[in-house]
Amino acid sequence: MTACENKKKEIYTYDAPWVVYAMNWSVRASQKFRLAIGSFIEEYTNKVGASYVAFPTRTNQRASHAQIEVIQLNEEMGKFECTATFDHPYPSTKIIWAPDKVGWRSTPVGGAG
Amino acid sequence: MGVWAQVGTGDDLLATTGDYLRLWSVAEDGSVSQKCLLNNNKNSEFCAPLTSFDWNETDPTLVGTSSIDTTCTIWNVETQQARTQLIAHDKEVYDIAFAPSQDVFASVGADGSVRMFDLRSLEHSTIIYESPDLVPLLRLGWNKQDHNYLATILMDQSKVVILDIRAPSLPVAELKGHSSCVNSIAWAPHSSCHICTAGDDSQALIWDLSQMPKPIDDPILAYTAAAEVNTLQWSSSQPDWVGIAFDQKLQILRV
Repeated sequence: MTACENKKKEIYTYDAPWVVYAMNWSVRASQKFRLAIGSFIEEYTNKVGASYVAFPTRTNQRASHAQIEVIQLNEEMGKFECTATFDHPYPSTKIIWAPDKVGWRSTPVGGAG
Repeated sequence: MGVWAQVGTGDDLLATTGDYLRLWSVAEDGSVSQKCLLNNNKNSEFCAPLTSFDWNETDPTLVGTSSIDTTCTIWNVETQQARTQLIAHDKEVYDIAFAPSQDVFASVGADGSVRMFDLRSLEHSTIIYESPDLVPLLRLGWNKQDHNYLATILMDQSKVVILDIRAPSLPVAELKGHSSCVNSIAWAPHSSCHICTAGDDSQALIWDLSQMPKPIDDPILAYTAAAEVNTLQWSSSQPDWVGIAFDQKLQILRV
């Protein structure tokens, strides 16, 4: 597919392994079409039961196992690809990528803005 | 400064809320590692889940979280310290949003109010809006291009309420285009008068608010997904793209 044809494409779809709840775009200009998506799993099922060991339940609480994926559109292929998967000890209620403000991470405390 | 040792490399940062506020580093090779967990809860037996958060774009060292324990916490993510924690509402806080400035933020919650706070004077807050019958308010969006406007949604209701902080109490507009409850709202990152809304009717609608305070009757664009839309985010680096999540799918749409 040529870049010209891609430009006309209006919709891209990614099939996640679970119901998607939290989601957001990377704001970096150099990371076009990169997003993070979070699973919505209310409680353990047998399928993910093995992970229970890794995330022990807190006192008086039922722990939940959830995941986050980082996905990026391969513009040449016209397809989303998963570039990273990691466990999140509780379903993520929101995801935000760091604002792309030059130099803020090396700014002295309280000196930004 | 250990957490920030990656300055100058290609790593990107990601924040999430759930049990706690966590920061994750995403390396160029795709690997992800947790950089820190921010916990201001003195009681180690329980954690009060965080319902949402916002990252201050004017001062990116500031992140604000909202909790079911009625509080909001403003974090300095550079020092990993809580700058302040305040009881923001009488009931659970469901969402928080920074104004397009360093010091002002607002929150919504189960008590049905929108409250505005100023980090320079936290002794009092301003109630911007209270919903009819104090129906819980679930989401809050602050127009990043025109700081006078906020948008919120009511639990199990199909309308979107637009507020003008110069004229509190009464909505400046109510968007009634959805046929079922609204789940997500996103102001356009590049325009002061456009907002996208999505909900259980599987629709994502884009509205032009430039005619306010005249009533806004219809959206200018509509997209129907294959299932109820849970979440919607408008790309700030590519404002002609909107992302929606429904069922097991993530879909991006060119506006």
